[in-house]
Amino acid sequence: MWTTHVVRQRIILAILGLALLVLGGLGLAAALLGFPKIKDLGQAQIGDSLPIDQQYLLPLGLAVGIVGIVLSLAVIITAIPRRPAAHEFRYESRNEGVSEIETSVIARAAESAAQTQPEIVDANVQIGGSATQPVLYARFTLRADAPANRGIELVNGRVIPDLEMVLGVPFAHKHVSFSFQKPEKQDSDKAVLI
Amino acid sequence: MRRFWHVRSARTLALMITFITLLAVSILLALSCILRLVSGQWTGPAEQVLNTLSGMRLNDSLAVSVMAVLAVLGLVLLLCALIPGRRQSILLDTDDPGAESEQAMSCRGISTLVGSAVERTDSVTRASVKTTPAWVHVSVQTPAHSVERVRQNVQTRAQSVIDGLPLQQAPKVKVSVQQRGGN
Repeated sequence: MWTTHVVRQRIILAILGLALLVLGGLGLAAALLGFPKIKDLGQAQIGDSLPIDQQYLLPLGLAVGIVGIVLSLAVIITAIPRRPAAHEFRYESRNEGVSEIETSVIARAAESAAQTQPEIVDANVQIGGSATQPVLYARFTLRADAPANRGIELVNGRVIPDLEMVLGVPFAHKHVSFSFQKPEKQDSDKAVLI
Repeated sequence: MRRFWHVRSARTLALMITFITLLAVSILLALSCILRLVSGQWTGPAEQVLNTLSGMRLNDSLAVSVMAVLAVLGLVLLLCALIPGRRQSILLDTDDPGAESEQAMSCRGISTLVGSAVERTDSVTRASVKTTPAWVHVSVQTPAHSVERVRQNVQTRAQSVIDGLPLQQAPKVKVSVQQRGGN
């Protein structure tokens, strides 16, 4: 159960791609097509526009290098897919004081409970959000040889309501995915007719 | 509602490759400058690059090649960003954005389900299934000579599996049969 910021990734790629395309395109136009206004640029030496042998080449190079390192590391780190974080929910009551629940503990209990059902082979549950507005992220793997509807109804009718009962509030957002797993042994009551 | 499962594929690989390359170039640049500060002279490779650059014209073949590579790379990255990726799941009937409830079924899971059913069809020795939100491509092998009958049986069985799922938009089933083995 991993997630990443798809829109951010696409925006970064689009900006970088556009910058490279414009740079390369203008350079090619200047060198090959010889547009009137930039024809002289096409004949120019690249060294003329670079601050070679000048004092600011070194700090400029260093600054560009450091900015490049920081920027690249920031993009790489934020692009790494990650799981929705587990939280510690804090409940305050006038009569019973303050209590805290680690959501990963509830999630693990829900996974174990779900797996005891014959229709569910595997469950992966994560609870995020806050104590008043919890968010459910879950993936349930159902048996491929059992009716799919029964497994889905079981999850929606029992597993999720049970979780909500433990948390004391309904989920503000529910993100549930279903998959299937083949039974380990296929029944071989079929005929192969040639 | 911001979806978690029913999303278009990310561009993590393209982004990683691009920025790891950029990171490597930036490290080399910063390192060359630091070594120049410490030792008082450019390292061999850095000096070679500077000499090449200072003597190069924009219409030299090397410069034109670099520009072309940059333009192509830019175009590829731009296409990567703009072409919408394929979703790897199909929404269920129970999905309700108004109630902030997302319910989806993975395409891989549907492939497993259909494959498991198709493999139990008579005369099918091997089956592979690939599912997209629009299509379920079923490919089976059979030793039987009556390929058309096997195709019909597989089509019926796969279609019944898809019809039995509570999907908002059921994908169409396409079956291809390969005759292999037998006499």
